[in-house]
Order: sequence, then structure tokens, then C-alpha cells
Amino acid sequence: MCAKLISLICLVVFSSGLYAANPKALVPIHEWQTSNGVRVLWVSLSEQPIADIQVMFHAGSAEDAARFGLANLTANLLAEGTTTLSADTIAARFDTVSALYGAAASRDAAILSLRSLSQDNDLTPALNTLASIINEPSFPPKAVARLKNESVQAIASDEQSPDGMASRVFYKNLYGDHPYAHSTLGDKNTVQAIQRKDVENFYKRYYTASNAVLVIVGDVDEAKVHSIAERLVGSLPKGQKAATIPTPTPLTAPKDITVAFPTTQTSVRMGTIGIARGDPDFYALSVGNYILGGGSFVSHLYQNVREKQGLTYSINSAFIPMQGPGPFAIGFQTQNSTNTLALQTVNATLSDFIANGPSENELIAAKKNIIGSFPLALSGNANISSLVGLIAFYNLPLDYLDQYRSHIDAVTVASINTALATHLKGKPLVTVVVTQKDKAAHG
Amino acid sequence: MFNLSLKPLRLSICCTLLLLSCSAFAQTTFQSKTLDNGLTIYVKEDHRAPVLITEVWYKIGSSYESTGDTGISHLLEHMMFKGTPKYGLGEFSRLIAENGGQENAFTYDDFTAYYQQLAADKLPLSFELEADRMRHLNLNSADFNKEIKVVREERRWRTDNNPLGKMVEQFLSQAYVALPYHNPTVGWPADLHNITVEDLRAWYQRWYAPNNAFVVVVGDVKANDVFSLAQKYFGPLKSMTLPAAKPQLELDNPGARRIQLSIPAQVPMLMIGYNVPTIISDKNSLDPYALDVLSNILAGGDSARLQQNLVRHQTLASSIDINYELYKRFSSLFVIEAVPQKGVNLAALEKAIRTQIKVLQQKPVSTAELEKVKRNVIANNVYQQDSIKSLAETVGTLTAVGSDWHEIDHYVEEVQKVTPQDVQRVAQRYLIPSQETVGVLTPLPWSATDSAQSSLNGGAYVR
Repeated sequence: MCAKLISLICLVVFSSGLYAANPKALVPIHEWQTSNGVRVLWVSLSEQPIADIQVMFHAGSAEDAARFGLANLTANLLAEGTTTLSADTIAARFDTVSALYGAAASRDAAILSLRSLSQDNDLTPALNTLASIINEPSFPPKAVARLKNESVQAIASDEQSPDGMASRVFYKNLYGDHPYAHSTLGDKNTVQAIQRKDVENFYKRYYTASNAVLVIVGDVDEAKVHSIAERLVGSLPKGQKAATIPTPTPLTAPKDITVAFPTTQTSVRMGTIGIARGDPDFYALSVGNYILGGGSFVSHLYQNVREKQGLTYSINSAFIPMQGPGPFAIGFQTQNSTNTLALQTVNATLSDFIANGPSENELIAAKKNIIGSFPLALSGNANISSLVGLIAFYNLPLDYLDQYRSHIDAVTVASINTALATHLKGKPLVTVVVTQKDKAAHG
Repeated sequence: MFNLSLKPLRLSICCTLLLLSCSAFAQTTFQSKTLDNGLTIYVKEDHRAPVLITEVWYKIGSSYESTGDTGISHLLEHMMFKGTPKYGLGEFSRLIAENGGQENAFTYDDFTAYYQQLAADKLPLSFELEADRMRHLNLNSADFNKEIKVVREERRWRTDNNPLGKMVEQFLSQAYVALPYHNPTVGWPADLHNITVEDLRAWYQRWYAPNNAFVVVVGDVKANDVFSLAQKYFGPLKSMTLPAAKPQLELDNPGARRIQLSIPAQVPMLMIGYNVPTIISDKNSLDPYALDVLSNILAGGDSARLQQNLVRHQTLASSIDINYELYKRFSSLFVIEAVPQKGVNLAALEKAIRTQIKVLQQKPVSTAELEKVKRNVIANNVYQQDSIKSLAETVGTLTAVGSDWHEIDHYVEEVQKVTPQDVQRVAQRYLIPSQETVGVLTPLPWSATDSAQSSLNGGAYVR
């Protein structure tokens, strides 16, 4: 009976419009919607007997409200028991067919991922287990208590690392009362205050069809892929879309924060609010940032701080585009005694780049790298799956991958300078310095 | 070593599994060629995407180093980016970047490797640059004086200010008694203040030669083209007389060891490790494979015993894992690493882990548990083929320690032979007090750590 129902749904879906993939595309992506309106992207790759599934919800920590850590806790609790399966049974079912299941939350998304062998006797049980996790989690009270405890340990682990601490303090000070301000893990006290009812309500509110996207990549053929999509997410209630991410309030003055920490090495995070996904300056800033601090061994920051002075092991900068405006951040570490020198060098390098931009030769070299290395990102099912996941979740155009190189190629010195002027010039920075106490006292 | 009476049983399990796995089990085949100068090139064609990974591996790493010189192989790896007479400082990375490449290098106890990921038509560039720096590296004091500072920063970051890194370093220093694996690859702090550029020159001259290296290429290439290119670029390099490899053996009975580390930290940690063999230290033995099965029975997935019992049922551990490297030049360690649940006493966690080990020693594992592990091994073999990088690294590791690419499939076959009795036998033989090292990290109260500053500053290694 069940099978009949599924095939019926299949027919409905076919007739309601399957958007065929462009066969000339680098990665031909098929797109359709399930009966309840969940967008599905499917890429057929038959070289490896593997299927990669990602179910993504607009249920990241930006939706935590005052209960910091709730989105992460909810995502991790899904596999801890359902109305029909215990946590032990779920684990055994995945392991028995060698399926790899994972759940994680970021600021924007909750992502459930499954990698399975693609032959039916492996894939079918794995998908049935995943369907139960998505549709009927039961959040057993004992598991809620244990996972809260584990979150608190994870936060402690973050806070005993100078880098982890620097990152937490950076986001807090950059975003203030914006939902991106707190760490996805939450804070110890907010996690401890979360109740089982909060988790249940969060699940009901955000794990809905209107907040979900599904990505299927690998050795799954057309005859099965529609029923798979229906089985996984076709029964989710329509629900209400998550609210759009508010615009963060820009800083009006620089913020210099020093955190006292028992360490022989200072960790620094500095930056400002950058761009959201889909920002028209994305490509110019990608190329610009490669030259400033993204290109691993050839960037200005790497050359000035590491190569010329030996002040750090790792230094880089990044724009992190998110649903709302994500940060632009620079991070590095240096021994406590060279902290001032390193900071001066970084500040001078950044100011110089904002003021003068890249040279024509630097632009050419950067574009060659970004364009030339693009095929690497498309090698292997796992890489393709994560890129298609990005396209699905952030609603990027389906020809995003095909157009990527020509967008990069269109970047000029002038467009980089314009983008730098818009997004970085004159912007007050948050600078977080995690360092030893006596050092901290002198600032 | 094998109980002959078990053979029929073993065979029947093997047959069932082969049947069940035949459609999934990936056969891994590399083609290889050895040049006259002793350099061997291993190639796997993978035409899914127009890209490749190329790696040059040297059989040199921290297990070849002596006290006083620890960290020298890793330091040399950093210096390998400092240019040659033909391609000056920064040219290597500039050329790779401009050609759309991604590159890096890594050093471990038994090897040092350099890799580039490139579009499929860029292999000649990699080979030209790698062949050049194999024998013609510039090693000058000015570059050295800056790079040694970078490496000290790397050590501060990985180890000195990372409680986990510090715990692991001190644990390994005790768990390996007679083997050089007790030295950290990054080097002891004092050595990072005493190694000279002359030491590095000597190290480079001694070990960087075609007959102490090999090349792994995986990607959208034709093996014969790769061999011709290798002949063109690496062929002219002369082979060298290498120091004779001296066998090293761990003690038979190293005795029970225990270290207690109290440092500023927030998360306690427990490590329990046992000195165990590898496929190299115990050639033709099933023990390493049985130990690997054992590690999966205990911690291979959420349904494994430690996850189910200690994490979910008894809520003693918030995370628990096992690390066993069966591919090393010498023998190895079987290490259980656990973080307690908040508020759980480390002694209670240790006791619970010991109970789990005792159960394994007293009672054979069920056929269902064993079958699950065997299936997972086959699946992982399939999953690994998806990433050309991970495949290249596995083949490189195998070759560097004295095995080769055949081991990828051989491993799957050997695991299928393991019986419940084998698992019980290796648990009884190796997971015993005389082979054991326990490491306990007890955090100093975080609020009191300001006053603990003096202890951090007082160490010999902080200048």
C-alpha cells in the first residue's frame, strides 16, 4: 500500500513540472518541488556507487532568539530517538549498512547529511532511517539532558583555546544584539536553561517544508529519485518561512577588546561587517581578498607578516557571505612579545590595500588562480554535493557554477577598488586580542 | 598463531562477505615505474574530472631524528619553499598559484610529502619545480632565521597553548619507550632554539635524493605520459648513497606507565594506550587487522560499544574515540581517547573503559557485530575512492612505511578473515597492564590560572 502511494505521488510530481538539467552545464542540476513544495536539486553521478543526501533547513543559530545554542541542540537531538526508533536502533541501522549520518548547525542552517552506498539494500534502509529522523523525532528527555551537557563541554573546549575565545568575542562585539552575535554552540548558561519543550517548539516552527531544501547527488537514477524526495521531506507540514535576517547595525567607532588568557601566544581576530550571499560585489571582493589575505602563500598579509618577519604561522583574511551580511575577518597568532609589531603590520597592510588596491599584475595572477583552480572544487562527489548544497540553500542561480569563471574574469582593478571603498574604507574595526594578563594590562 | 580448527568457519564468513560485497568492493590499481636513479612513480588514472593531484614523498620524518635535532625534518619542509638558484624565493608558490594550483606539504614521523592539486594539463610545471628543489635548494641564514620563528609559532599554536595537543605530546613521549615516535614531529622546544642552518644543509644532502623519494599522481592523466614526464624532469637527478636503515624495536614489556598533566584548561581528558604491532613490525600476522577490527567494535560508529554504553547509556563520556595506525615503519599504539561528561569523575570513566576491555577479553564478539565492521571496511574502501587526495595520501603513507598500494585491497581481504576468536585473542594479548600507558589531563581551575602564569613562563622552552 505504501509503495502504491509513493508511485502515485511520483506521477503527480512529474506532471507538476520537472525542470530538466541543462546537459551542457558543468554539473547538470535537475530541479523540482515535492508535493508539499520542498525544493529539490538532484545531480546524477554514476561513476561511484555512492549517494550523498543533504537536507537543509533555515534553522540555524540565527533563529535561537534568547536561547543561544537551541538550533545546534535541536539538530543534534534529531537522531537521539524518534517515535518509532530508539537512538541505539538508529545508530545500528546506519552502521549496519555503512551509512554515514551527520547533523550540524551553522548560523544560517541546520544540515542533515547522509552518505550511503547506492545499491538498494544499503540505500533504502538508510533513507528510511533518515526519513524517521526528519519527520518524527521524539527528543527523549534523557538525551536532551545529555546533549545539553555535551554542548557545555564543547563550549568549554572552545573557550580553552585562544583562537576559539577570540572568535567568540569577535562575533559578540561585531554584531551586538544581532542574531549572528552568539556562537552556534551558544553560551554555557543559555544552553543550561534550555528545556525539552523549547527544542520541540523549535523543531515544529522551523523543520517545515517552507524552510527546507533537499540535495541528492550521486548514483541515484531518475526512476527512484522522486520517491526518495517524497519519502524524506514530502510529509513535512507546510509551516511558516523563517523570518529574514535583520540588517546588523554598523559600528560607529572602532572597538579594541583585550581578553586576559593564560597563553604564551596571542590570538587576534579583527574585522567588520561584510556582505550577504548574492551581493553584487561578491566577485570583486573574492578576487580582492585573495590578493589581500586569501591566497594562501602569496597574499599581502602572508608575505608581510610571515614571510618577511616570521611573526606568525598562519594568517588569513576572508569575507564570509551569509544569509544576512556576514563578517570580513582577519585572524592570526603571534607570541605575546611580538603582538604589537604584528598588529601594526596587519593594520598597515590592510590600510594600504584599502587605499591603493591591487596592481594590474596582481589582479591577473589572482584571476588565473581562482579560475584555474575552479575545476578542483568540482572533483569528487563530496565536493560537488557541498557546492550544490550552497546553491540550493542560498538560492543561487542554477548556472552559478557555469557562470562563476566569467564573473571572476570580469573583475577589474577598478571594480575591486570600488568594492573596497563600499565595504571597507573608513569602516571602524573590531579588534579582539586574546593574550596573557600582564600583557593585556598595557593593552 | 592461527587456530587451524577455525579455518572452515573463517572461510565461510569470507565467502558470504565476498558475495555481499562483490558489487561494491572497489579494486584499487596503480601503475608504477622506477627510473634508473631509483625514483618510483605511482599513477592512478581517474578521469571523472579534468584535475590531478601530484605528490612527492620523501622517506624522512621525525622518526629518523636524534635527540637534539628533533623537528629538523619538519623545519626542512618549511625551508623547501625558499627557492633554488633557478627559481628564487617565492617563485615556486607564485608559479603554482598563477597556474591555478593549490599546494602544501606535510611532515609526520615516517615521511615528508609535498603536493599540488592542478588542472590535468599542468603536471609538467609541478615536475619541473619539484625535481629542481629535490637537489638544488637554497638554504641561507637569512631565510632560516625567519622560518625558525614561524615554526616556533606553529609549535606554540599546535601544542604549547592547546591543552589537547600538549596532552597528546606528553602521552606519546611516555607511551613509546624505545621507539623514536616518542619525539614530536614539530620538535622539542629546546631543539627549535638550537638547530642551525648547517644542520639543515646536512639533513637535506643526506635524505633528499631520488632514491629516497617517490611520486604519486592520481587524476585525469595517462600513466605512460606521466612516466615520460617523470623521466624528463626527475631522470637527470643522480641517486645518492643513503644511510643504512637500522631496525628499531619497542620493548617487549615496557611496563605500566601513567602521566598526570595539570595545566590551565577547561576540559578534562583521558587517554589509555597500548603498545601494539603494525603490519610492518609483525609481517604476515593477522594481529594488526584483528586490532583494527577491535577498534571498530569499540568505537567505529555510533552503534559501537563505547558510544552506546559509555556515551549514551551510562552518560560517562561526552566523546570517545580510538586511534590505531597500523601503517608505520615500526610498531604502534592503540589509544582510547575520552572526554568525560560534565561532572563525571575521570576515575569512573577509566573504570568503565576497563570494564569494556575486560568484556572483550572474556567473551567473543557476536557474529553480527563482526559482520557490521567487515561491511564498513568495504564501504570505507569505496568512499575513499571518491577523493583523489585521500587515495593519494593513503598510497603515499603505505609506500613510505615499507608497504605499497596493494595493501589497500589486501587490507579489506585480511579484515574479512578475522574471527570473533581473533578479536578476543588480540584483546587478551595486547590490552594488558604491561603494555599500557594512561594519560590524565586535570585542568587547573580556570579562575586560578592567572596565578598559574609563572608555571607557564617558567618552562625551559619559552623565551
